[in-house]
Amino acid sequence: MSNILNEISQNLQQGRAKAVKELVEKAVGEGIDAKTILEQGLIAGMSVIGEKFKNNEVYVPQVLIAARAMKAGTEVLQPLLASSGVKAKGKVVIGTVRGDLHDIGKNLVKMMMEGKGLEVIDLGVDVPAEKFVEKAIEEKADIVACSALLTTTMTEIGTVVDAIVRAGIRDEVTIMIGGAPVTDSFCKQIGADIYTPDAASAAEAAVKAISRTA
Amino acid sequence: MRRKRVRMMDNRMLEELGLDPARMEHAVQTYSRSVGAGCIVMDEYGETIYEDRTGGRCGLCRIMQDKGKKCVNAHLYGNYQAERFGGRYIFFCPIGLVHWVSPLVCGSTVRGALLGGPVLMMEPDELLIEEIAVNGGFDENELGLIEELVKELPIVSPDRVNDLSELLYMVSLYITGTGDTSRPTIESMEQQARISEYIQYLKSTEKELANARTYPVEKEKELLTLIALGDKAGSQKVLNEILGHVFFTSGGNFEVIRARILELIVLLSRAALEGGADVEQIFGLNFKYLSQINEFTTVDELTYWLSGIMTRFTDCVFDLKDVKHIDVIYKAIDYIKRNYMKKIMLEDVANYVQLSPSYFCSVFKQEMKCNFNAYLNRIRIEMSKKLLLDNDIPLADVANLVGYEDQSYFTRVFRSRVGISPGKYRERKGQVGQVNIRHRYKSGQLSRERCSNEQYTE
Repeated sequence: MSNILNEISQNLQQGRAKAVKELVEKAVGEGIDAKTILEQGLIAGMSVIGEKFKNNEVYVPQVLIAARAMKAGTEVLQPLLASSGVKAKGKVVIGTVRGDLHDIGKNLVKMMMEGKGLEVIDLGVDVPAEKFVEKAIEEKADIVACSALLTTTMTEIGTVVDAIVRAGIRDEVTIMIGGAPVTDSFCKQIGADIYTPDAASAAEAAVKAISRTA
Repeated sequence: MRRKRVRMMDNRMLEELGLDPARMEHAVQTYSRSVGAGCIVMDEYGETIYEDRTGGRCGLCRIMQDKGKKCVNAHLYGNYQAERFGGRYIFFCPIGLVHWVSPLVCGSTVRGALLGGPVLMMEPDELLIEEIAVNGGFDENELGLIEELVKELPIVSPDRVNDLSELLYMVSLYITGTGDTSRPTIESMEQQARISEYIQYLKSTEKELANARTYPVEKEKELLTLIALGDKAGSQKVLNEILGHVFFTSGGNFEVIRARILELIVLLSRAALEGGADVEQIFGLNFKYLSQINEFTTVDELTYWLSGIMTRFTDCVFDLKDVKHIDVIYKAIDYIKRNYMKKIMLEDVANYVQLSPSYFCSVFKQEMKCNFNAYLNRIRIEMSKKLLLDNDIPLADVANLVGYEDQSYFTRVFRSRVGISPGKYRERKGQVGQVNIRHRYKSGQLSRERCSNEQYTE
């Protein structure tokens, strides 16, 4: 079992989207749990790339193709992750804040939330604060989830919170935040509601928040 | 059907934008021919104003345009990112082809951009064709056409794409006739990335949360040691970790962070003084910096500025500009720092820098304002302080590990420099307190000499 997961990780690192897709399908066929494939295959490979990028061993293009391979793999897993677990009802507006282009983490959160049965409206990357507000109102969202991966962009989450307050919908939405530099104390500082350290706990927290308000 | 080479804009309009048409044409053609990839110039609205001989944007792009889909927006967005992130940006276009872009900046205004690509980074497979068809709004009966057009695209390895992007950035500088102005942006981004990593590291060790929340006094000490020794790379790393901590605990509150940075500046300046920097110079710099600090409005500006200050202070420790025998001194110091843990004789170092021992001795003393042995002792004692903070290392080994054969001699030197014995130092976890400062004033170590305390020279 660990062999095929390792193979997935290796192919992902080389950006072989097609091979990753096929291997993930094969792993599913062998009866390996979707969550295990995601964590020990796809995310494991992406972490290696992240580490190498940090040490200047690989550059942006390698990260791009690895992310593309990751996407190909997660698309296979998505329906499986969605079919397991309890269904919850609720709407989430999610996006990476303005100035930030990192979406791997956000995409994982989205997937995990959908896996819990939530309806997720993905605004993509580099999303201005007004857009979060606009969509939250339009979709009558229960949760607004913001992600930032840089210390330079994390303050932008505060701007989103302010915009939500100004729009007068602060009591109607739960604000969730996440990303590498984001912490619980930052969450309190800017007046957001929930900080979670990873995608799985984000999905759980979202479900809990929605069942509380419902 | 091949289009005309230059058509969208006449030369006068280009010149009005501050671009020299001949220079631009030459650069773009040379680039495109030599790297074997497409290259166009677009204006600030994304319109093609000049294209290489291959005929500009890719065939797929043109078909999509006819379908009412615009690649231009993606190209412009890429350029906007390049502007913000140090002059170059690599991206997948909406249908997944690889492009790279660098802005043309005249004065401080973006006049347009150079767009490189499209290329592929992998052999095309059905997954790619499928993606293109879906994202580009193509019909099923157009799959063959897509395949044909995709086959024409060059396949370039990811490493090379990175290089092509770097090179295009250089071409953009050549065309606009400006120098590389992106350095500070890139350095600042790298610093922020390191800080962010450290925060994440702290988060991953959250079990020891209480630990993470207390200020890392030992890190601060390490930083001061490194500055006093003039170690730039090392001090930068530790500074980023401290900043990570400050961000982590302050929760991003700008006022709090600014206050901590203010403290750090004062601390850094003291470390430089201890390292032997000139008092007047450091106080002058301090005054300048402290009046600047209120001009900053963002955390990243502030932190990048601080790391610049630290470099400046570290430079002051050994202002090698004023040193006549710069090579000799630099090499000697380097030798000492690499070998302090072994037995070092004056002769070894003199030999290493190819001077006679007596001449080297006088050169060293003249430039460093202290003799060779005093300097060696200083390095060894600073290093021993670090080891002493690690309780796993037996006290008896510390002397040996920093190059002293005789432990009682080490203890004497240590006490004279630090004010307390090595054992006390360990016991108090490096908190030397008042005794030390008084002692050091008395022994003249806080004077303007680069390094003092010559009473223990043999």
